[in-house]
Amino acid sequence: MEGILTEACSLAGHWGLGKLIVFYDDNHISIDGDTEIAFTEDVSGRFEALGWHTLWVKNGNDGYDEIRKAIQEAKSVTDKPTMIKVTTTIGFGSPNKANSYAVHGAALGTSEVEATRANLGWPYEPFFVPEDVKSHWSRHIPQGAALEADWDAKFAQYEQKYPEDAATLKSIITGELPAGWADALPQYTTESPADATRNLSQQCLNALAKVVPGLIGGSADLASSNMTLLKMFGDFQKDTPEERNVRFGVREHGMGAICNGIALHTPGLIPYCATFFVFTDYMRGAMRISALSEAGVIYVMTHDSIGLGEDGPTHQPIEHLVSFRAMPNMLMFRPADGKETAGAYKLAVLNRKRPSILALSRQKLPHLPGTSIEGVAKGGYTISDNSTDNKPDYIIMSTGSEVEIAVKAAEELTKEGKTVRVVSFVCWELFDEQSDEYKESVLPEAVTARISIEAGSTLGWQKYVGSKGKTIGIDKFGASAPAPKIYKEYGITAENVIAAAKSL
Amino acid sequence: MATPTPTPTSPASITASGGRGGFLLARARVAPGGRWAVRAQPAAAELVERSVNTIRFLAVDAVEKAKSGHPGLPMGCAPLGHVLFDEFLRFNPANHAWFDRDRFVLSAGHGCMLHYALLHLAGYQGVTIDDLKAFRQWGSRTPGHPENFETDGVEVTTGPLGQGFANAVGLALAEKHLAARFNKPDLTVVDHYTYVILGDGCQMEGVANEAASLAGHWGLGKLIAFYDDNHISIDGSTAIAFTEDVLARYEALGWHTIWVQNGNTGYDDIRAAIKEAKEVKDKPTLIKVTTTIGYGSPNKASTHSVHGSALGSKEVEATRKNLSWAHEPFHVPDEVKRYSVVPVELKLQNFKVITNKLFCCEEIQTCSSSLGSSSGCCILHSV
Repeated sequence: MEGILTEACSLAGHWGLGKLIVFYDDNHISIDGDTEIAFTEDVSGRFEALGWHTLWVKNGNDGYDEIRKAIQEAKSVTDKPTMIKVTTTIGFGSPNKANSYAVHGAALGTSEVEATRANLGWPYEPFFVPEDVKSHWSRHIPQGAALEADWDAKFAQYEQKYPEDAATLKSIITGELPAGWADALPQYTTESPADATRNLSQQCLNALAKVVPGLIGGSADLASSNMTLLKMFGDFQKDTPEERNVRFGVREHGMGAICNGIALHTPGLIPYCATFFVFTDYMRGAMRISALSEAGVIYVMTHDSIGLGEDGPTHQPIEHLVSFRAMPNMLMFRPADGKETAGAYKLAVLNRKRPSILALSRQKLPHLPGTSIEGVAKGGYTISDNSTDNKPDYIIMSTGSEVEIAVKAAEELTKEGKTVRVVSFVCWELFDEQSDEYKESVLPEAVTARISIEAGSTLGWQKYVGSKGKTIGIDKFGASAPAPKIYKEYGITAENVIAAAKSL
Repeated sequence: MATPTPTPTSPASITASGGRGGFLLARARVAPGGRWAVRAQPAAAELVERSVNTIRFLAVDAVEKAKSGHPGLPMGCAPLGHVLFDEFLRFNPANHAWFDRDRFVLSAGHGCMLHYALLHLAGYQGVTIDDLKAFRQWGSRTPGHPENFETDGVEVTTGPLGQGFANAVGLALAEKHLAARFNKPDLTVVDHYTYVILGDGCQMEGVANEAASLAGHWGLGKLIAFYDDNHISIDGSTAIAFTEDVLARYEALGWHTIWVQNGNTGYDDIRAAIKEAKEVKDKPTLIKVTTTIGYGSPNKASTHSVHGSALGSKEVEATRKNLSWAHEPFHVPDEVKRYSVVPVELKLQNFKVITNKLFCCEEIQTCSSSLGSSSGCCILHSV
């Protein structure tokens, strides 16, 4: 019933994934009862419409030959995925609870366990594995070792004949990145042309594509807006599966889950996927599983704020940054310029057991003095400071597209004789992992005059700004208008930062 | 629609509960034989074409002025939009909240200039020509994606694809539920259709399949969905990532399906499809309408670039030439205006809406008794 399934199956059909075999446990029961209640569609018909081959095992309870035959047939269909509908009885064997929703998610209870043992002629005590069953299954140990040994021998031959490809495949298998890979990332300076971080992201992705053999990914029909095409590769399609640009179509949730599959297939496969930042709402389930299952998927999320302008509030993220800062094991990056974007990518690639989200701008941003790749690794760091004893008059902190606003405000305050520190808080999770000494060096306890500015929810900023500081942000939905107008009307301006500072 | 010039024998005798003398006719149509003009007849072909191009160019001009927006869908779906709004949809422009109105949702919300243009032509006071000119500007009533709390006539907020379609299933569920609870054998007080336009993007989204599965299971026969089949999405041809058999999928979900192969100029095909859809009572209907995105633009039609960017002044020129539309931006030809809203001036204080079939005036007694659920009736306001 879940929509994500249709998204993924539509792609599997389109891609002709002939070695994907799905068993549909057709037991007519879900938690609320018989599927008659809410699920009466023709499932096989739907899968056929999606380009799948379909089979039906009518007796999944003890039709063993039927099951065998179906799997054999599915394996012989090489140009389409196969869906085998297997009609079973849920809780088969339980005389009173089989075929009811009660057996779906609750223990049988002692008397029903008794009754089931009697019903199936199973006189053994709990956890007993009969000898003949044990010995039958034990053949898998030598068999499995033999399978792998055969493969090792084959790979040794492969290494002899095709040493370069073997080395590449090996690095994908082990996850070991090529030496010096990070040097391929573009080196930005303040002289580099100003650009939206979504474009800088494309430059980073294309630089990495040359040196990271397992990098593969794409967008949910927004490649030309997310800027995620790898120019040196073609599209992964049914007839060109060796290519690395994956076209997911407007299927965000399916895309996220497919990337989890790619990431968990082999350590050296590094999938990235992209859409508008607001549409993380459509794939949050998969993102949480990325975090929980330690799948280092890279989520490239552009159009990250009111900065996208006229598309309006349905497209403008507000609560999204803080919602991902709240998600365990998820790295939420919001780079301000080229150096920080490169830094974010470096960390995203390094973190194979933590997924990363990069929130990127639609609008052009300047390259700022003081930003650095190393700073990004610390999560929050000082990019400018004219104080001398770790006691600036003001600390202004920000992320992404608002850092330039913080810098402007700092310049003004400095002109008036104040000492101001500007902190870029590109990744909260990494900052929180730093030593107390480091944190004190960035946010000294003694300095309470702190101001934050970000084009998003103010929730969460209090932890860095403190009770004596001021948070500037947006706690309501956005608006449909040109971006500069929205920034002004919503008070995300240097003037407001200055006014806030002076009020402290 | 023949000219619905209101010439009742004695306006004063047309009263509504609480009438205050003087009345305003917003839209009139009656069953054949009735005193008023028959609404169900479409306008002459030439007038239809002009109306369709009016819709197209209002969209083109608004997007061009804002230098932002999505002209492709409005240009391609103008024929469908015209037929649906002008010949089938039952609504009261002076009261966007009339309870028994047909519901319309643009699930492909980025195409909202289509909806705004239609609301404008239909006479909704909340979408004036100045509102169209203020498309996508601060404080306007025509934001970049439809917002129900901002624009009268917009039922739900859409933009994120697939949501509107699922909302439409909810609207249809509400109608069916209330109809079952409150309609009586001798009086039908809940009787309206829910129409939704969705595109390839909406179709790809999982939420649309979830909602469609339920609509089929619930047999929502008064839900009619139009699938704008234009083979284009942002990243190019749908051949890149979307090659499933959509109609077969909907049939598997328990829907009735129809295919209008020429959505660009096949007006009769569109009409016949809607009629057929309305006759199927026990299943929702999906009408696949094959259109050309950006229809009329000589260089950009059928490409992904016309999906989400202004045409640019040169291409706007070229499109005007191509469709022989010599008018200046935001121009609504008089004959189109007259045809869609009668009369032009509206007095809106203290009006009372009279729902059709129940409180039809004495002059139009034939109207109230002889109506089936799909023909029109009079809607009078007394001011």
